[in-house]
Amino acid sequence: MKGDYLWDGSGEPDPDIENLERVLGTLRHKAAAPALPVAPAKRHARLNWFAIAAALILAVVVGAWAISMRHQSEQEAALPLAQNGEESKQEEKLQGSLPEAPQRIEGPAAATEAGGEKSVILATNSKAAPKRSARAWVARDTDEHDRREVIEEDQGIDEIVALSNIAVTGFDSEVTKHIEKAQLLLRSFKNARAENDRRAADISYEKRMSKDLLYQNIWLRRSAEARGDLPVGELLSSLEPYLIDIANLPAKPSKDDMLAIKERIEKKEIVATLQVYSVQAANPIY
Amino acid sequence: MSGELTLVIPQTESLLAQPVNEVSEGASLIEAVRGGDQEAFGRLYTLYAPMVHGILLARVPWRDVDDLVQDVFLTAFRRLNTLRDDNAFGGWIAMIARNRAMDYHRRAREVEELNENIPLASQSEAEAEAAKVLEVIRELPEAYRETLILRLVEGMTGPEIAERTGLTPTSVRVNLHRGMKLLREKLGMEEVS
Repeated sequence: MKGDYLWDGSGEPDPDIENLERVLGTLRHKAAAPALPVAPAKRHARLNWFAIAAALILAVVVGAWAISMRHQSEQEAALPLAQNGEESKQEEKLQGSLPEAPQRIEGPAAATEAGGEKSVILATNSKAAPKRSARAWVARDTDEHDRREVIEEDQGIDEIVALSNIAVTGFDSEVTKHIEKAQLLLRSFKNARAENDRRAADISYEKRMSKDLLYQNIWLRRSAEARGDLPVGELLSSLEPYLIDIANLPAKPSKDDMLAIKERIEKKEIVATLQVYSVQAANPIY
Repeated sequence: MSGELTLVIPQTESLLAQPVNEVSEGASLIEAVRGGDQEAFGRLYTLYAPMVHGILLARVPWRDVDDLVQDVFLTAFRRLNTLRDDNAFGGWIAMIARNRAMDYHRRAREVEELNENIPLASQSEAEAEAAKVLEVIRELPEAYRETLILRLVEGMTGPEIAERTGLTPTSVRVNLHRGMKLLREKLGMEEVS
């Protein structure tokens, strides 16, 4: 019965169906299973408690560090602390003595989120800074406990980082969202096609997205490095060159320009690396 | 005339969408995967990847399907603790695959559409021919499209399609036959009576 051949391959073969199987079989799935990253959360709450306990311990350690830094600066500070945003004349003088104006890079959530869950990073980019004690303005908290601290450094350093409050989640939700957006960007870029000069692909959307993600990536990478989160720091470091390259492409790049970046994306398996992070990030919490 | 009566019992299809032994194997694999068993995950992948691949192939460009298959499985793995009934894994991961396909189209930016039917230098003749037929199948109604791809591309039988997707065998049989009839018309094949 020919009807049976379509249903379960039994009976007399239908030549049209056989032909279709032969033609379409070239598209059949062949890929191997991906590696299993980590075990998913079980249905009971044991892993959640562990994650919460780890987060609390980390919060206590960071809080103790922040208090000890503040205590130290209070003892050593020569200037009175500013009250509610009032600038003191001495602070203005001190600001004038800085070798270069500090660059302030704030995360997108920093100024808007209530409740103190924000990190603000202040970096100086001065390579010409003299190798001597330097004072630099540190992160300024923007909530109702507005304060300004002065940290005196004995070594000349390029970047001075201070954290006000740190949102402790184990896996930072901002990093997770950022990584997911980066995956989308890289996939979208891989899909863009420029087969010839006449039909060069328009990647203005990818460029714009890449630029936004690049600033975010820099901020997140520095946050991670500051809190000693080396794996996240390295992951974001590995992502950054792709964001830079895509952001710097012309709006309608040539096929060769795009191919070079696509090949690197494939070769370094950056998308898979980001995917693994996303999976791991979701597991401890749920 | 003899008083003998012959009782004729019509053959009916099993009402079960899934044989019991396959259901048990799937459920035990899922439990093992939850425990981090890589081999169990590999086995689960072997069982369900063709179905996921076929569902995605019915909806997104075939060159991107392999990446998305991996994505679907990693997503399913991540959300495994939300699966209430391990026996419903097939239908559940099929839903994830369809949602993923929708996300793909939602997020893909508008470009000059490079129709898969346009032969590319890197495309073999076999691939080009397959892509053309696939385009025709994609024009069919969704229910037929998916079932036909699972049968003709992935090489799954009707019972396997029913078992993996959670559809009843009757639904699958109807989709296959009606879908095949439409496909013959579109491809200009003569219908086999």
